[in-house]
Amino acid sequence: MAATIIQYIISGIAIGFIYALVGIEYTLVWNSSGLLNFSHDRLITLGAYIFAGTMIIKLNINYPIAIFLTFLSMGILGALIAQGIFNPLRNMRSNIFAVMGTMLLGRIIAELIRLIWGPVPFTLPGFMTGTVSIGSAQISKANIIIMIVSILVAVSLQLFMTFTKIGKAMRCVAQNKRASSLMGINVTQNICITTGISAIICTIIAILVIPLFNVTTTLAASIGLKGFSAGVIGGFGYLPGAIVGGLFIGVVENLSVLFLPAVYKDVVSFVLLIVFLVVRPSGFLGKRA
Amino acid sequence: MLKVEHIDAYYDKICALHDISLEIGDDDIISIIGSNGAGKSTLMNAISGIVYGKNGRITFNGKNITNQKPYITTRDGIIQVPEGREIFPKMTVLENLEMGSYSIRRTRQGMNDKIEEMYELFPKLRDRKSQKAGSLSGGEQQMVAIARGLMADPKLLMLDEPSLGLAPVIVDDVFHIIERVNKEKKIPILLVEQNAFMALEVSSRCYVLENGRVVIEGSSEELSKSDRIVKAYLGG
Repeated sequence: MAATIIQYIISGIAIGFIYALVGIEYTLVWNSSGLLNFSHDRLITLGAYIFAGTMIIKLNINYPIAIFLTFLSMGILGALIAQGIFNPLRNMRSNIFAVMGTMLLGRIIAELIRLIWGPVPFTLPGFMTGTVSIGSAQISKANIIIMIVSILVAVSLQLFMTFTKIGKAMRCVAQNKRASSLMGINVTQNICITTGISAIICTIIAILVIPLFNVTTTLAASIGLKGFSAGVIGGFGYLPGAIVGGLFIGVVENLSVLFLPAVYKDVVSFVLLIVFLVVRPSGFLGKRA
Repeated sequence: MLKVEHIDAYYDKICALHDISLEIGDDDIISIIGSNGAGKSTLMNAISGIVYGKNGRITFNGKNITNQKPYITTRDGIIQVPEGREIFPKMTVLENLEMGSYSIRRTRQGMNDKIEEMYELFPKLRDRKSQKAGSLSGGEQQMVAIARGLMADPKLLMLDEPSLGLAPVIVDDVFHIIERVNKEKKIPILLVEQNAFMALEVSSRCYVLENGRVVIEGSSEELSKSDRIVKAYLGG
């Protein structure tokens, strides 16, 4: 029993880190442009298809180069989305223009995926499979890799935002765009860079979840929404909040199968989201408005 | 060095400036006074490129900067310290100062020297350097804003209502610093103020804006004796 609980907790932490990365990825865009990217789950799906479908299966490139090329193409795509949608639409009278823009972009990406790679799900044989036993608990290698990579992403993002000139400029743009431009920061360009980084994090999420979900058109449907819940529960717009919220949801929903039928697992995070919106809308770490 | 010629500017399609012309020389302090909504900030934002200017033109050391993107105007050396300070509240005082130098390359040593120079000008900021700028008092935040502007090695410093919301004693400090910056660092200053008394005292020339037009201009000394100014702006 104890081993089962440990196993649940560990896989909860692993999937929690995925939710946290999703939270980070859209919080970056939210802070930078003041807009929500409603195509973010499609970007994750697209990243998985480019990596698995094109780079590995079709072109048979070795993993490190395939990862690099996928990052590069997704990063450029992110910057183009910022230049094509966020920058022209963020100063419109209502955010609804940009919201519609990213929603339609999501539809376009979904249809493109169906046209290019077809509707049949597939997987990468032998990619991040196998288990490691620690004591009496069996832990999948995928979960261990997810935890290590997620921590590396969170730490390096923090270092980037604290110590590099571009990272500091990103924080300035998030706080005050007018003052940023008076500092000599090219705000439009900075939003492109931030969205590009966000798209690269989407790609990291995509590659990490391939062993969990296979490559399908609905790959990111549930983690996209749960990542959003993670942001709200942790404290909206605050990067460490996304991590806390993600881990909380991941562990709670995994432990819920001890008390609830497993089919209700996906419901748990949304119930938590609603409870937090009603009781504590500022989340765990957010400041009360 | 800065020449504004016959500029009209619009703010949300309302014409906020009509046919404005002004000129700033090499070591001047020029002030612009006027009541709320007279167009003072709009004029400053038109120079910075934040507000769209129509007709006319703005030149800086011979370069046409009309409707140039604000970040490029900053890189040209025209530094605006905006109204309401607009510091970065979630960053420390030190980080705020460093961001002021965003537009120029500095070595680590050069950056430290420049920051040290700011601490000498504003000794209070040294004690506050690791605090979040948002936690400072209004007067201290104004010092951060001015120091952050100076960190860019301005060729022209534009201060928008530096006395806004400050206690009278602190207003004196701020104006004292403005004079020092102008004299010691030889930086020309364009000062926008509602506090006409202070503005006339520190500046050499003054423009009076009413409803988006320059209604009076002249040497500050003469203006501070003019009946019209005394009645309308100095509460005489």
